[in-house]
Amino acid sequence: MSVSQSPSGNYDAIIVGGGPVGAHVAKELVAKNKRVLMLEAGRAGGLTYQGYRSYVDTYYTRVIKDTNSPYPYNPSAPSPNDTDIVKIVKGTPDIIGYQVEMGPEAFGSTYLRQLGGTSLHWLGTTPRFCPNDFKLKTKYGRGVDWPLTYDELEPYYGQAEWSMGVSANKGDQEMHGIKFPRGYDYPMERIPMSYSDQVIGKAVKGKTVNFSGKDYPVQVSSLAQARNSIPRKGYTPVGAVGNPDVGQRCEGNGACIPICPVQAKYSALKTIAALLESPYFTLLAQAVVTKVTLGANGRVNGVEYVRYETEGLGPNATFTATATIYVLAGHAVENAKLLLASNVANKYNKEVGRNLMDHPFSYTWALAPQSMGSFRGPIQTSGIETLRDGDFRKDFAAFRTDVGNAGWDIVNYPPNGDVTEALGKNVFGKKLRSQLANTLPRQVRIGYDVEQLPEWKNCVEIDPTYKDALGCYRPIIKYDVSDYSWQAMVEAMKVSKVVFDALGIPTKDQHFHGRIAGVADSKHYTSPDGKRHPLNFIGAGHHIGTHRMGFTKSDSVVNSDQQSWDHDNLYVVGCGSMPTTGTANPTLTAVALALRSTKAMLGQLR
Amino acid sequence: MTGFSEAELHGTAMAKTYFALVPSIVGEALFGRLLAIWHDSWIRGKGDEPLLEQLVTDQILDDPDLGPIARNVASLWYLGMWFQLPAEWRNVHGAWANDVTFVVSPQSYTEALVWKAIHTHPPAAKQPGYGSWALPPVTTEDAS
Repeated sequence: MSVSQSPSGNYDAIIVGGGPVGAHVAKELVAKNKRVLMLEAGRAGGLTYQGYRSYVDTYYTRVIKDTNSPYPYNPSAPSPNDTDIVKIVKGTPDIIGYQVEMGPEAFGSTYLRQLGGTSLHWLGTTPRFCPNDFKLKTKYGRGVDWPLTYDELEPYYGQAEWSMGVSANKGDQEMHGIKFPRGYDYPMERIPMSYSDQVIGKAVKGKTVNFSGKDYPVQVSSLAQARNSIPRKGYTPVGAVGNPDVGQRCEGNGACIPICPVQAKYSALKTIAALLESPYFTLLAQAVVTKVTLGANGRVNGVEYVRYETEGLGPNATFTATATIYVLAGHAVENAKLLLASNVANKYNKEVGRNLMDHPFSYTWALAPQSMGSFRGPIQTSGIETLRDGDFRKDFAAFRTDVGNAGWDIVNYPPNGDVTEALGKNVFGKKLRSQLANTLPRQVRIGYDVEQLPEWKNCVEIDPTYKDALGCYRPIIKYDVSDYSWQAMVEAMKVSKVVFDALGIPTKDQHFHGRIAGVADSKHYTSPDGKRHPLNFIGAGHHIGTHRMGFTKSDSVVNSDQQSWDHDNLYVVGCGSMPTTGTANPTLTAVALALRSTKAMLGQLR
Repeated sequence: MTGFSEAELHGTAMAKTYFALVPSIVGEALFGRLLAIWHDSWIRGKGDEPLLEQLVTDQILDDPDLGPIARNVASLWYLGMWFQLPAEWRNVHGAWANDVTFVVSPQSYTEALVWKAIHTHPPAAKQPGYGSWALPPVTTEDAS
């Protein structure tokens, strides 16, 4: 289809955004023979096997292998990149790249605008939220409650796990009240825990940390992951798009972020490729939605979009598409941006774009006395999940502990620095080879995905000063982290201390706070006891909030069906709807919420 | 210079590429000098590891003109990458158009020897297979 053409006809639903959430809404609607038009701002190059392989080659040749490095730069639908994120100088916005950052803290997370969305570069970690995450206010007096419970969402978690292809053992996941119905199991066996996970797990057995006067076990357990392993009865793994024999199992490529070369990791491309078989599904890529328009009755009556032929050059043409219901699934930041640009969903309050959250990610690292077998396997196969909930949440944030498999990865991006540094000291030949062999496999890195509370001042805004090549608004981010999360980062170091000591690592080889390479200087946090802690964090890529769901039209943008309080045929779906962050990587929950919302959508389309 | 055998270096199929690449960045004259001195060190130090090491350090690595180039040749083998030469070097020898930091090719990345040195594989290539990461790692002792 050329840029001057637009699909005609009446659609039951228009879905804005071809990521995992939009793809799952489409899947459910198309299954009920509803006509769906999906508008994707980015390009659809990943739908052919060769196109996807070209991303792998691009990854190979990129000097900086950051989250979006394999994917082509697209000025007509730009994405934020890691290399654009710098320390914010007070009063001076960071205007590098696409995202405008006002601070006071740098919002160090990225996403990808391309068919498949950020699921192209995500890690694939898929834990469920804990039941108490849904009632933080009631249980711990912090943040807000969700307008739905774990039990209400539970069936959709199962559906999401089977649709995305999650590998896990039920027993590993049953904690903090996370329960499964009788007879349920994950579609595939758990991904084997790495050698280093096993060594750490053995070393910390029986060890505890004391939080707010209570002991909690430091226990290593297997993570639920959306990557293919050995299928259980009734499930067939989904391989690479266009080449399904490839990627039937995770092969330990060790590059989950930013790209699984064999597509053993789930991406929304798999769901969308299957949808393309249906006559009820129409995909239009390179179509950037610029406005949601309203009729006199206050209902949405169309979306305006620009199609571009060549990235950054045009020709471009503007169209309107219409349907019965409209589903914004463009990512927390993009959804908020579009609502703000359209001046909709703001009749009852000014919540659109507000309460932007992430899991601030702090990390620690050490050099073990023996080889840990680092740089092997998926980037992460296990975690310390025991501190995701507990009474301490009255005092400070909960966190998920990420036990890495890729050495000091984000600490200093090995092995380039290790090689050049050694050469600079005239270490070469066999000495160089053995020095690398005797250090890199000993690297251990433990990180923390820290819960963050909703705050009105943390937000996405727009301003005509900042627009992209297509004339669309660039998102303006204002972001800060409160003491609730900072204090958790300090407490989390106790966990690292337990692990490092248990591994017999000398104190001089234990490191608890970081200068973040290329991002910022060391920051400091002063805890209530007056102690000053050097501390730093980066983003986890978990954009949460911005169009949160709530109990009433005064406290939120959408209801528990992710339906706009203002416009009954508008749904705003994804991580942006989540009222709080919990500690779980949010994609699985976003997909489960989307699946649940399709019941309401189908009710409206009957 | 790399600590890998001739067979291992040839096995990467990158030798020709690198041999053509280096003079295209730093010029034939300097590259020729580097090769001549390397050859001289190699002949004189053959069979005497400490002597060879001393010769390479004195004649090449500590030489302000040749040292940075030699380090970059090692980086090519280890990382498949060329690093822009240090500012002091460029102050003397001028700016060479191709002297920027880059990964030579997809192949140079997948053939980078650092991964072999640390008993693993380059991320996103030469995958070891399902579940291999759960087994104890190969160590230098096993490998030799």
